[in-house]
Amino acid sequence: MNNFFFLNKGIVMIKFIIVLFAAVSLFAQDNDKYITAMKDNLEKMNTSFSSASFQQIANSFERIAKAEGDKWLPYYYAAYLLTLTTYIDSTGIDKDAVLDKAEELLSLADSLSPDNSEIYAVKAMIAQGRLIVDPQNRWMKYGQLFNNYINKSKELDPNNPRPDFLYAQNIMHTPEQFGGGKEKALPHFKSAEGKYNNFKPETELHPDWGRELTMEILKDIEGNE
Amino acid sequence: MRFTLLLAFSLIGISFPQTIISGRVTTSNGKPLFAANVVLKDTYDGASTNEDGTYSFTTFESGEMILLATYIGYKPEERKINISGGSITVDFVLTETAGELDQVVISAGSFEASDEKKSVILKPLDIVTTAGADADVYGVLQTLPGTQTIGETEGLFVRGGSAYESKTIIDGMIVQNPYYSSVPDIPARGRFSPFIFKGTIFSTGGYSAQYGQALSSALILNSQDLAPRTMSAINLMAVGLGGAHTQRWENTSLAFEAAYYNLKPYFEVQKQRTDWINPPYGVEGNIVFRHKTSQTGIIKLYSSYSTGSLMLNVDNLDNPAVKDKFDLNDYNFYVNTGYSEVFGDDWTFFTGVSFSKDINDLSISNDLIDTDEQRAQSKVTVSKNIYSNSFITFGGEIHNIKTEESFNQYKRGLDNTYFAGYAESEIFITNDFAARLGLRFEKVNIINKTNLAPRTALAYRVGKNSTINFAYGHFYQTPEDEFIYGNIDLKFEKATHYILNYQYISEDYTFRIEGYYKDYDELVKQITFPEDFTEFPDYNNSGEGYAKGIDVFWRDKKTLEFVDYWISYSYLDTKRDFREYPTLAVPTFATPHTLSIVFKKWMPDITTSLGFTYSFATGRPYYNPNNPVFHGDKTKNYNNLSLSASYLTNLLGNFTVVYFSVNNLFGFSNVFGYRYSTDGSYREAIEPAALRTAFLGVFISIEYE
Repeated sequence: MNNFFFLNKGIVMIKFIIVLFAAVSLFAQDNDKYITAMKDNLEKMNTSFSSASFQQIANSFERIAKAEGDKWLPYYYAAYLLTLTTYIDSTGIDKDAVLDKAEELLSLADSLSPDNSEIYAVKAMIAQGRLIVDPQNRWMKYGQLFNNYINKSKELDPNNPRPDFLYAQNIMHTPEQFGGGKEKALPHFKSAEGKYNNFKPETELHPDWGRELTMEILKDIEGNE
Repeated sequence: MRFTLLLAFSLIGISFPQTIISGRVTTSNGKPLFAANVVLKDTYDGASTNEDGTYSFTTFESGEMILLATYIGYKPEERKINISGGSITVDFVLTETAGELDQVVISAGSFEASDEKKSVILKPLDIVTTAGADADVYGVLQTLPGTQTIGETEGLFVRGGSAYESKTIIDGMIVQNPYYSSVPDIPARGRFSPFIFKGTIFSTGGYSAQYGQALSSALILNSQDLAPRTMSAINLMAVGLGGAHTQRWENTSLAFEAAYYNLKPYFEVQKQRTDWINPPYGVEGNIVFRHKTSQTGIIKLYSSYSTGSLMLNVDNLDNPAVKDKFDLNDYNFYVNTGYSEVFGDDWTFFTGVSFSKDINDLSISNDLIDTDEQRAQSKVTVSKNIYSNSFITFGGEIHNIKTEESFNQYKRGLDNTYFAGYAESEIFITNDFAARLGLRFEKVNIINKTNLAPRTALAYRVGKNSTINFAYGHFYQTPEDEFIYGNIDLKFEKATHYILNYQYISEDYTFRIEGYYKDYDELVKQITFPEDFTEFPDYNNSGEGYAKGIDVFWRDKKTLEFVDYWISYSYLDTKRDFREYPTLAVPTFATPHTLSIVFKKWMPDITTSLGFTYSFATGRPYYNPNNPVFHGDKTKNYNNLSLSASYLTNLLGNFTVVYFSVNNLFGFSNVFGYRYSTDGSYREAIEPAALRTAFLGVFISIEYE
């Protein structure tokens, strides 16, 4: 009897604890779940390099973005990854359609976080993606748009290394005849490097890409000198 | 205690049951969609599909929820599901979105070049990189099916039509003098640089009710909007030099261009058949102004001026000992200005004014022949979006055309007013089926006649990239001035077009086959042949004719690396009885078979684009006064292989193109026809001005940061 009472009391206690724990965890979970899911995706993003995996991670970011509704970062990453797929894809996806989607997602990020230097950097990437689809016919229009977005991104945050990095990459991949090449790109990579060395993302979820590639390319260019 | 914990865990289990949701996402044809996004709405839970279209994920949610599948380019699909543990299988079949871009495009009779639209046959850049065309819009059009290879005069000869039956239209307005002044046996270039246009539609028949006064074809050129950036250009050519500067402000751009040309040094190196006294020289300049008045409104102005001189000897066939001196001075002024704006959500308004004046002072031996042509026109177009992408468009235009001609002391002139109004609707019955129905009304004062021309075009999509097109329409044209002087009761000349085509366009390949029948009626025919040349002959509209044929076009950008080529073939069967013809006959500007192959290869290692164009045409009939059969003789076949190379480089930090081309590389001897002396005893072949021609140019673009 005693034993039973104790048991019964125990159950009540445990139930109470569970309910309490569940309530607290549900509350904490909301944010934890967001951070965990985002971190999980960011880790995948930093360790994979294929059009299909980028697409899948973009899907996952999009799911988070839609469920959260008021957070710009998952929209931003989804747009960033979709744009990257169009750079590296060789399976014949309709790149313009993918860029349309990236643009749509990025504009949602833009409306949640206006005048954000990071978002303008990805806008520049999308313009570059459009150019890559048909460079001969599009360089006039999208080359200009790329420059405009890079400038705007720099203006909004002069310490952001990414517009410098993107610009440097763009110069590097432009044929020498058109005023491009590694030599011309070097000072811009140097500038990006300087900014990366002083750059601390606002949180662990905030954009922090481009650092390793910048260092690698610099090593490559300077190694050849 | 152990029991308690177990119980506790089972309690959690009951309130948070786990459910596995899986399935497959495919297209309506059963093709798996890879990397489609499946998500439980308003949650993080979901998955991307695998290569076989399958997906699977686990959720702790429960109750009635919505499962959503999305894939780029496809309509999203939602499914209501009840989640209560266990596993659920949900398959999705997605259908392609037929967004605005995916609506079928009406293409009967027309070739479009644009960098804004998909599913076009050419890109604006194709026009400047085609060998043999030397960046002349009209030269490139001669490599498309439906056009004849005519080397002795300028103009587009389309599907059995004469050059007079083609009109050039810039920003909606007819261009009075699209070519430089005519010189005997030498085709004049087009006046307009292909670089100023963002879109070109070359219609070989069945075109919209928005355009009139052309029995055969319309070349519709749309000029560029704001110049993209501030830059300068220096052009050095074997035939002259030029410079340009473009200034760009936020909502405004202004560009100037000027050029001086003199063919004298060039002709000294490049020997000509033509007996030049003064090879052509002259100056020209143009201004392009653009101002954006709002997000959607723009004011455009284009104006050009050119003047040139040339002098040459022309053989006098009736007296071979004598040469006739041909001395020409010409002046041309052109201005085209327009304003367009979108009002509300669905009204588009355009108004434009254009003026041109062209003066030619010509002397042949001792005769002075002066012509002065001017055309002033204004146009208004209002378009309303009725639903989806369907439009209804109304418009009107009024032209005043003044022509004055003098032959020594004799003078004559025409002062003509032309009015036209039209209504047209372009309706998407479904995304796969579009119809364009239009009606055009015209009134021409000088002959005091009116006409009403119905136009129809239908497009039906039969596959993802393939469409079937049909067009039918009536086309009217005022007879040429020379017939109207003294015959003001002539009627409009008329053509009826029937066109049927099948077209396949993907990113990499284009195939098109088009059949047509064109019926000519009420063509001007000369009925009296006065002996005394001071008397006007009589003309009426008893002429007639037909043209039928098949045009085939194939373009492949994929099969060979860095190679883009296209092949055009035209079969033409045409006869007409008009002008001074005694009977129904094949005109001198028509041949049954025409073939052209355009080949371009990009060589990234040496940043050079190499291209060649091969043209072949069977012989054309010519008039031989000694042959009782009218047009009973034919020239030999025409062959030409032209080569061009563009080397992209950097000169003092400025993007530079070195362009080199050779026309008729193998020196095929071509004859376009023969000219006979009055008594028929002596004839002379009409041949190109030079067997081979070469051109060298250096074009430097100076950009500012």
